[in-house]
Amino acid sequence: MRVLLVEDEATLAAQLAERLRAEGMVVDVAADGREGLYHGEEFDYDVAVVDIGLPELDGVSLIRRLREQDRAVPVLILTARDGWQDKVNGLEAGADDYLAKPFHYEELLARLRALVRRAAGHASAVLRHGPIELDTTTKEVRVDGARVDLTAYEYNLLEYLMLHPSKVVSKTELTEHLYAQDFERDSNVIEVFVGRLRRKLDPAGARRPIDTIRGQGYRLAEP
Amino acid sequence: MRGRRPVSLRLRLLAAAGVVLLGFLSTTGFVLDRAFRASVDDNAREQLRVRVLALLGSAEVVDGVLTEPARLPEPRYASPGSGLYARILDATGRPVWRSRSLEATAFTLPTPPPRPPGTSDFDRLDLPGLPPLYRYAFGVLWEGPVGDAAYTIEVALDRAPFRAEARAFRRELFLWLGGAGAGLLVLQLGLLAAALAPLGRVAAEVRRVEQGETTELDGDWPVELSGLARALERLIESERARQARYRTTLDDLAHSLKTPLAILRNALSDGAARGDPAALEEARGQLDRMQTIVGHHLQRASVARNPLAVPALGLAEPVRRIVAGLERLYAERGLCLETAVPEGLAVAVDERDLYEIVGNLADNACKYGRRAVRVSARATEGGVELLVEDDGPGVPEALRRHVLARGARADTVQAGQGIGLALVTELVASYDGALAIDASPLGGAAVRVLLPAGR
Repeated sequence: MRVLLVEDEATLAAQLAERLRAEGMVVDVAADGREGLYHGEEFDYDVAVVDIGLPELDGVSLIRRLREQDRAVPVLILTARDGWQDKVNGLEAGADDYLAKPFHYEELLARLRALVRRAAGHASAVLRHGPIELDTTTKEVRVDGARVDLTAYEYNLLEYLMLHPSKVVSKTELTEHLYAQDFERDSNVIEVFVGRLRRKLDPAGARRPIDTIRGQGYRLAEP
Repeated sequence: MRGRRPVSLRLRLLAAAGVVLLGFLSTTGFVLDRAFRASVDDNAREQLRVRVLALLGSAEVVDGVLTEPARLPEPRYASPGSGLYARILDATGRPVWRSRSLEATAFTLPTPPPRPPGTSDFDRLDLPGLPPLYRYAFGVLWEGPVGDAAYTIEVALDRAPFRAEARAFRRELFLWLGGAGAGLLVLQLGLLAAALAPLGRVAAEVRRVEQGETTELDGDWPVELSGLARALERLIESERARQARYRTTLDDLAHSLKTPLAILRNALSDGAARGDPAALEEARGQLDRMQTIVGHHLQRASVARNPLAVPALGLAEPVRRIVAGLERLYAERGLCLETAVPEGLAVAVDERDLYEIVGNLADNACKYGRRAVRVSARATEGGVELLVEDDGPGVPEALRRHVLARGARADTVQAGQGIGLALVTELVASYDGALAIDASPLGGAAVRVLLPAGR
C-alpha cells in the first residue's frame, strides 16, 4: 500500500512515516502543499494523508486541485481544529475522512485501511475471494478456514491483488505500491514473491489462485 | 488614535451657531442702517420743503420782479456759513435773489434745469468744490401786471449734521448688535453645555465601569442616547460574562487536569521506569483523558457569542453541506440521509455555532442510525425548530436527563458522543434556545432543538 503523507511538522511527519512503514506501507513524505501536489500528480497512491494547515498550498486547495485533475486517491485530512465548518470545507473539497489532532496511530491506521477498502469497493474489513479470506485489521489470511502464515511482503502482495480482484496488475504497479521509491526495482523479486504466495495459498497445486497474464502481469484466478 | 482627532461636537455646534448668528446680525444691521438713512433723507426733504414754502410766503414782487424777501423767515439765511442757503432763479436760470449765507460762500451752486411751475425736485449734491448738500428746488408762477413769470426757488442745507447723526446711529447699532451677538454666543455655549451633558455623563459612567467602580450605566438617558447606553450595557454585560466564562473554564481546566497529571506522574515514576507495560498503558489512558478534557474546555470556551449582532443565517445551506459531508464520511454504511429544510428559513445563530450544532447532532444520528437519518426544520412561534432523527436504538428515558445535564464536567464525560452533545446543549442554551430528546417515528432518537429565528 503506497501512502502519500503531506505534513509540514517534521517531527510528526517522521513519527507517522516510521509507524506506517512499520505496518508494511510505502510512504512518501511531502513537507508542503506544493510538494504534495507534485507527488499526487506524478504518482499513483492508494491513499493520502493531508494536513489542512500547510505552507505554500493549504490542504483544502491541494485536495481540490487533485480532484480537478480526476485524481481519485482517497484522502484523509488531519486537522488541529475540529470545527464542523473546517470538516465540511475539507469534505467538500474532496476529502473522504478527517481526523483531529492529536490522534492515536491505531485510529489513523484503521481509517486509512477503511479508506483503501472503500475505494476498492469493499465495505467489510474482511476481503473474500473464493476460498481465500483476508482480514485487513488483524492481517490474518485463511484458505478454506485454515490459517496461512505469510510474511509482510507476501501479505501486502495478496492484499493488493484482493483489493483489485478483477484487474490485471502489472509487475511495475506492484513494485510501486509495495516498495519505496529508492528500493532497487527488480521484477524478479516480484516473481519470487508471487511464486512463494502461490505455494502457501495452494500447497497441493490444485487451485492455481493467481493467474499470470503473459506480458501484462498478475490477476486473481476466477474462483 | 490615528490621524487627526475629529473636531469636537461642542466646537461644531458653536461654529454652526456662530455662522447663523453672524449672518442674521449683519443682515439686520445692513437693513436697519439703510432704513435709518432713508428716514434721515426723508426728514431733510420735509425740512427743505417747509422752508421753501416759508420763503415763498415772505417773497414780494415789485414791478413784476420777484425781489428779496423783506423779512427772512430764518436768521440762518443771513449768517454766512450757517449751512442753510437759498436763492431764487428766473426762467433763464439767472439768480434774482441769493441769501446772504450763500453770497458769503466761496462756491456757486450749479444751475438747475428749468423747472415747470408746481413741481419740486429733491436731491443730494456731492460735487467737487462743494460741501455735501441736500437741495430742494420748487418751480412757481408769479402773476404780475405784465404777465406771469416763472421762477425757481432753491433751498440747500449742509448735510454734515445729518451724516454725523447717521454715523452715530451706525456706531450705536454696531455696538448693540455686537453686544447681542456676543450675549447670544455665550447663551449658546451655556445651552450646548446643558445639551451635551448626557454625553459627558455616558463617558464618565463608562470610565467608572472601566475602573470597576460600578457595573452598569446608571441613570435615565435621553431618547437619543438610550440606544447607545443600552448597547453599551449589553456589551459590558457580555464582556463580563465572557471574562467570567474564561475564568471558570481556566479554573475547571486546571483542576480537571490535576488528577490525570498526578496519576500519570505516579505511573511513570513507578512502573514505566521498570518498563512495566501496564504502567505505560495507564499513562496512555491518562493522556487520553487529558486530551478529552482539553478538547472539551476548548469547545466550551468557543461558546462565546457576540450578543449585539447575530445576523440572520439561512439554515438550508449549512444543513445541505453537512449532510453532503456526512454522506461522504459514511459512504460505506449506505445510510439514507434525508433533509427537509425549507429554503429561506433563517436563524439568528452565529455561523460557526450553527455548524457545530447541526454537525454534531447529524453526526451522532449517523453513528447511531441503522439505515435512516432525517434532518428537518420548520418555523414555529417560538423560533425555528430543528429536528434530527435516526432509526437507531434511541436514548432511554432515564439517560435523557443525564445526557442533557448542563455543565457536565469533562472528567465525568466519557470520550465519544458525550462531548459533542454537551457542546450542543451549551451552545443552544447560550442562544436561549431549548433542546429535548424523545423518540422518532423512524424508530430511534429524535433531538429537537429550538433556535431563535433570524429576521
